[in-house]
Amino acid sequence: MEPVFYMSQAVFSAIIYIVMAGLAGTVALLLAILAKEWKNHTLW
Amino acid sequence: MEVFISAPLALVIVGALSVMLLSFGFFIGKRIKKDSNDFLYAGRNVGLALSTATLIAAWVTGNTTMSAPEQGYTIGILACFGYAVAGLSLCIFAPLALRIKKIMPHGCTSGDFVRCRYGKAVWIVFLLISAWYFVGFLMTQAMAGGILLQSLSGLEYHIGMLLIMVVCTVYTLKGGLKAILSTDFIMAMLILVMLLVTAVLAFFKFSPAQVYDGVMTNKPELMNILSGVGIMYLGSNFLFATGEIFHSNIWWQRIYAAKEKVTFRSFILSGLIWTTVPIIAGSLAFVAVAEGYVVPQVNMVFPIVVSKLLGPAGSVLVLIIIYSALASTVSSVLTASSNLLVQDIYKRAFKPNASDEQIVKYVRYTIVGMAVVTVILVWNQPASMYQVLYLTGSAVAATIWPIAMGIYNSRVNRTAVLVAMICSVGLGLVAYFSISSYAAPVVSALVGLVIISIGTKLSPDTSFSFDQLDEQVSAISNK
Repeated sequence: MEPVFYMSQAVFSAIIYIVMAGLAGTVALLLAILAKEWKNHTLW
Repeated sequence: MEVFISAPLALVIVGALSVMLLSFGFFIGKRIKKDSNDFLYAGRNVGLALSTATLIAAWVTGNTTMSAPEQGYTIGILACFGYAVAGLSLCIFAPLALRIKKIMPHGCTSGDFVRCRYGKAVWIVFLLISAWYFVGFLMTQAMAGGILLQSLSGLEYHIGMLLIMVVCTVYTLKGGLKAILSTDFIMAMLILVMLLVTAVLAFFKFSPAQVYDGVMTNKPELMNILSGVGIMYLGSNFLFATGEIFHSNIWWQRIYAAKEKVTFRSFILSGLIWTTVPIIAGSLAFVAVAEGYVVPQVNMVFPIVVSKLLGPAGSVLVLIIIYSALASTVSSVLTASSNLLVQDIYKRAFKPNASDEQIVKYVRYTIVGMAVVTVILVWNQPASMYQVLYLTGSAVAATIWPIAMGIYNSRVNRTAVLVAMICSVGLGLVAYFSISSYAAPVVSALVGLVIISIGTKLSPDTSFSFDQLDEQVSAISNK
């Protein structure tokens, strides 16, 4: 018999919202870094 | 067969993406110098933005977007996390990447390190493992291009497969790594933004709480975080991904291309961003379970869910996400594998005095050769290609400890490494066939750790010094 421990609804929801917010934030961060390096001519 | 978008629309979308890729290839191709430093390493001075984006784009493969939801749908929430731990492998590689950059800044391939660190015998085994992995990886990506277009629009398998291979080969040939870095940034942005839009729209329609309640009603076992299969998948996938990253020239080439000061940060940042992709893509599979969608092909759960939720616009989003993921990975594998073959076999073994122009010329020939061989191998669509890729699990996991220990410990015993790699692959394959595909990377990595640790403890190597490594690498590179 496999042990059972269900993830709670609050944890599931929190993970979804945190991961989506994290993705949005890091995309913005990456674009900001690109803009800065483009301006400073340090892309490559 | 149900199709989600019309064939002409699918061709227009793929055509537009292909024109963008080819334009970059030709535009950059006119501006790069004709030496190998520019063509293969983008001048060895790449900044944080492009370095991070290319790591994300290369690591988000067709499997990430298609297989993570499939695993979530069949195994459950733990499999979504299990897939996401492959992002942690990028983070774990960050300190090693920095160390590689410091101890051999003039390196060219992962093979250089293995040959100078452990000698010819280990190097040959390592090259065989790399070749095995590259061929399997390239085949699955080419096939995924054909299957994707076929499943979404009903287009014939060969059209999609040829399109992705021809376009990626041409723009890689023209612009080299600089073209790949530029397009990788755009591809990474497309993948991440489109995925975010898809998830926001999906969870706006059905809130995470509603999705959770639906899963608990229809298939509660998917939310069990003590699921045995899920735990096995998590551990196995982590070791498999770690082996892939530690040994593959895709990542080593990017280390040599990046500025030293951005190396560590780019691996950490890309690993963290990448981790969100399979969690979001995988979580969409739970919508299918919660809403009771009929999923005739479990590997198509992602396109099915998104198309049902968002209509034809959803299918367009899926096509853009997966085609971008495939194109960036195919171009990365083509350039990394041809670089490894030419630098490690043609130059080291057959023509040590080859000029820089000759290296670039032969890399271009090899890119075409690899693409042609791949197309031939997947022309008659193999039935179980994903199994072939998983079969490489024992091989890539066999490289984890030789790379990790060899980068930090000068006393690692070379003979123990050779024995460990052979035994790891062999026993990993035995585990694959006698236990399960999940067991192969675990057994392989464990065997490698034990043999190398014991061999090094009993007979430490006293002849190797890290101070001479860069000189040795430069010597074989400029012979």
